[in-house]
Formats: sequence, structure tokens, C-alpha cells
Amino acid sequence: MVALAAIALGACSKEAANAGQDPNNDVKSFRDLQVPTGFDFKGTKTITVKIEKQEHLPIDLKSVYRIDDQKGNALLKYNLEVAQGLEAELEVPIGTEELYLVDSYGLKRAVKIENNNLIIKSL
Amino acid sequence: MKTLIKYALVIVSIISAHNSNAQLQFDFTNSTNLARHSGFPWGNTNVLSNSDPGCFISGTTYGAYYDANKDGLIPGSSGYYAIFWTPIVAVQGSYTATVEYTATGNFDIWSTIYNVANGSTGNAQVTQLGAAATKTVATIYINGATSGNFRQYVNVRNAGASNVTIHSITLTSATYTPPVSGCSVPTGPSCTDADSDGICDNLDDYPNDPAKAFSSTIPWMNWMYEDLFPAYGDFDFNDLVVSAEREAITDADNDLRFLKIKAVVMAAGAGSAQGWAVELKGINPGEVLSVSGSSLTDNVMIMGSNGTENGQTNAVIPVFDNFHSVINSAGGPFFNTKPSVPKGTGDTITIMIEFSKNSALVLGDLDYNFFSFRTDERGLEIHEMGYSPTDLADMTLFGTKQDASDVNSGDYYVSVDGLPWAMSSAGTAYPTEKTDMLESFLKLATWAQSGGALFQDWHTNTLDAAYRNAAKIY
Repeated sequence: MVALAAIALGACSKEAANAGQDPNNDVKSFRDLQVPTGFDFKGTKTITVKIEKQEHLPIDLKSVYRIDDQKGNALLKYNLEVAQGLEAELEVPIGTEELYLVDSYGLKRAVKIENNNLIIKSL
Repeated sequence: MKTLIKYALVIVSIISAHNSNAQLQFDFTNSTNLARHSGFPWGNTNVLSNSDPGCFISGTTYGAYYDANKDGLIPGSSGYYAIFWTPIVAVQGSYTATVEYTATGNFDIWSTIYNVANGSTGNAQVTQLGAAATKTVATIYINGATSGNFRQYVNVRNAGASNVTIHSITLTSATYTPPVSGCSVPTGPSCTDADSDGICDNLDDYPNDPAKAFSSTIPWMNWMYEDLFPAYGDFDFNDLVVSAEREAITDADNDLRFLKIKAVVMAAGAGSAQGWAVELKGINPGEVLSVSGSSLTDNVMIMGSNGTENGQTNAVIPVFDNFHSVINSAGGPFFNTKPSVPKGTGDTITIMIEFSKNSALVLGDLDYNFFSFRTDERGLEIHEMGYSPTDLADMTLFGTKQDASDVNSGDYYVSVDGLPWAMSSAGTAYPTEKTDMLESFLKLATWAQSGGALFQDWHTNTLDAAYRNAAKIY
């Protein structure tokens, strides 16, 4: 009887310890993780920002642009030669799906990240 | 309203009556329909979308000017460009823009449409044209199907050398409302630029410092470490937790001039003292002019006069060499990992790294490699998986105990089970002392085993109770 109670108590404790864990995943210890080869546990990803050449604009025209995150942090601020365009890399948290292009007048436009590229065709 | 607008750019002006060779410039009257704005109003929604809807818009920079003797528009002060926008037109369906011009040589016209509703431009079209002694009509833009309110943008290039005059412009299938009382002619004050770096103060993050113009920031992130490398530990990833923000500061030329790192030790559930540093991969120590703010109390690193560590190929900058020197513990050897112990605070360490202007570094040259190191054993570095050790790491540790780094392929800091000793994340929480990370963050296992495809917010989702066990998070 005592042994049964101990077993039952142990089972309850284990359930409590694992309460809320993803029911679709029965791995309970970090050491037991089976990860795909090459997975690096990085919490960020590198995306490429491509602002395409705006050849219809004056060659020597410069204008200040920002790439902001959803919280309004300026991840990239740049004095852009608009006729030349820009290609730059940014480090953003994984799961980031869109960022914002902000021009020098404060106009803000959402741009989707697709295949780790943020492509801006027109300004 | 007009349905077929032909803006004969014979902008009837009183000024031409008393100055036969005048460019209209800023001396417009209410008989004109050309509004000239300070600078170049491209991208300025206040002007292009909201001002003078019935007027042509030009700018004092790159703008087109009216010349009565030539019966049309000629280049402005640039001598190269003649740029203008038409009044706002309502378009439904296809339309075509043509210009009537004369010229003594070759030139081209770039044209696009400006969408009044959202400020966007698109579908630029270029037309190459040649000399024309008499007025000649050319199509400069064809739009197959569109609707909405637009201004047609026209950029005449090489207009000066070829003596181009644009006499008129015609847009088919477009309607517009002419101005009731003429067009305003804003002159606008030029912007204030206190440090004379060419960037207006309202856009300059450092308006009083010509070496600094723009701030680009990577917001606060956490780096979490297991400190027993190359052996496994308890996987609570709180032996050292450092939160840091990075601000790269560039000048008006977009050259990287400064890097500011703010860092706070959030937790230190370790028995051994550790330091924390960053290697800037690809940046030579000689490209660093100075470093300020590093907390160096234990003579762990041998420093160069510029504040980088000696003996390194890439610039290595310590943030602190002993976490005990930058925390204010409220009791006990474990700093902010045991809920039963009063919470302590970490100092905010601010590192300022100055780069040489001559190095011509840019933002993209910043390749961060943060790492912890043992205060009493400099060579015992711990980096995130896949990041290389610095020149001063103890290479004999690789391949021992649970480490499976492949020195030949460059795959470092990976265990025999494909696991890391360090992780970084935009999330801020970490497990309590001796709590396996999986018990605290309930979607972490699925994220990792899916190769990062699922539950990418495993650490940053603080609202959904299904993601975390609050009792096991410090």
C-alpha cells in the first residue's frame, strides 16, 4: 500500500513538473533533444535589405531612410543615393515577418520579409 | 473639370512682361500654375499629396523653370535636370503622357507616376529622344490600366546640354481641377544643420557632432551560457546571462565611426567568475582608434593602447573581465537565479568603440562574435554554436568531453548531440537555478527539433501561458 502510494505520488510530481509542456513533444530534457544536423539554435536571422535603384531620380540625390522594427527601433539609418539603391544586411529576431521603411518626411510603409530578403522596389 | 488636359506650359506671367528673359523662379503670380517648393519635393507627401493639387510642382533643386522667350520649361539651377510633377489627375483605365519639345541634341525623359493616396511611385519608363528643331510630340509614358489620383513625374535628363525645352504635356483620359486662386510658391527655410555635416538637424541623431549622424540599433538581446564547456552542465543556461544593446553610429557619408554597446549582467549562476567580450570579425585591431568603458579589474587580458586585446587578428574588445565587478549582489553566490534570494542589480556598462574614418568601414562590416571567458583561464572561451574561437582560445579543449567541434570545417562549439553551450535571443527570461531550459520554455523543444521552423517565438512570447512555466523562470 505504501509502495503504491509512493508510485502514485511520484507520477503526480512528474506530471506537475512537466505541466504545460508541448503535448506534441515528449522530450523533457535539453540533453535529449534530437535536432536536425546543422541547426544552430540561433535566436536571430540575417536578412538582406535591397532598395532597388531609382534611376528616374537625379543621380546625385541623397535622402535619409530608416528601416524600423515594429517597436519603432531604427535598425538601419542611411543617407541613400537613391539612384544607386542599397544592399545591406540586418540582424533581426527570428520570427520577424515585416519591417518598416521610413522616409525623411516620416512616411512609414510596411514591407514583408520574403526568403530572408526585404525588397523595396520603389521609394 | 477638363477631360483632356493639355497643359501648355506657357505659364502666363506678369513678370515676363517686364523681364523678357526671366525665369519665373519664385516670382510667380496667381496667373501661373507652377508651384515651386524649396529643395526637391520628391518623397514629400505634404507637398505632392496635399499642396496645390491643381498646380504643377517643381523644386528649387533639379526643378524646371519657365522661360517666356523659349515658350516652355527649361532646366533649373542644375543645368542638367528639368523635373516637374503635373497637377493631381484622376485616372481610370489606361492613359498616355506625351510632351511637345524642341532640342538641339540627344536627351532622355524618365517618367513615373506618384500615387497621391500612399506616396508610392512605380513603373518608371524611360524615353530616349533626339534633336528636334521644331516642336515635336513624343510619348513618354504609357500606363495600361490604373485608377486613382496621381501626379505624373517627369525628369528630363541632359536637358541643359541639348537645350531642351518642354513646351507642353498632354495626358489622355485624365481629369483635373485647376486652381481657383493660383498656386502657392513656398520658399521654405533651408534646414538647420548645426554641425554642418550636410544632414539636417531633424534627421541627424547627433546634430552637434559632425563625426556622427545616424544611429542604427540592434535592440536589447540576451546571451545565455552554460559554463562547463567542453562538458555538459545542467542546461539551465543561466551560468551567465548578459543583456546588451548595440548602437552603430555612422556619419553623413555612411562611414562607421562608433559602436556603442550597453550591457548588463542579468544573472550569474556560476561558481567560477567569467568575463564577456566581443570579437569584431573582419575588423583589424588597427582600425579601432579607441575603446572606453570596459570593466577590467583582473588583468585577464593584455590590452593594447587602443583598448583592444593584444595578440588578436580581429579586434577583440572586453566588456568586463569578471562579472563580480559589475554586479551588486543581494546575497549568496548565485546572482539572480534563485527566487528565494533577494534580487540584485547589474551595472549598466557602456562601451564606446571609435573607428578610424580612413578605414572606410560601413555598417555591413560589423560581424559580431560575443563570447564568455573564464576569469582565471583566459583561453576557456564559450561562443554560440558555429562561431569561431578567437586567436587566444585554448584549442586543446575542442573535441574533448562532450564537445564535437570540427576544427577543420570550422564547426565550433557544438556538442556530440548537436547542442550548444551558448544561446542568444530577443527574449529576456531565463530559467531558475538548476532548471532544465525545456521545463521553463515549453515550446523550445518543438522549435529546436523542427530545425527552427516551428514556434519561433518560443522565447519572446510572454503572453501565452502555454509557452512558459512561470514558476521555473526567474
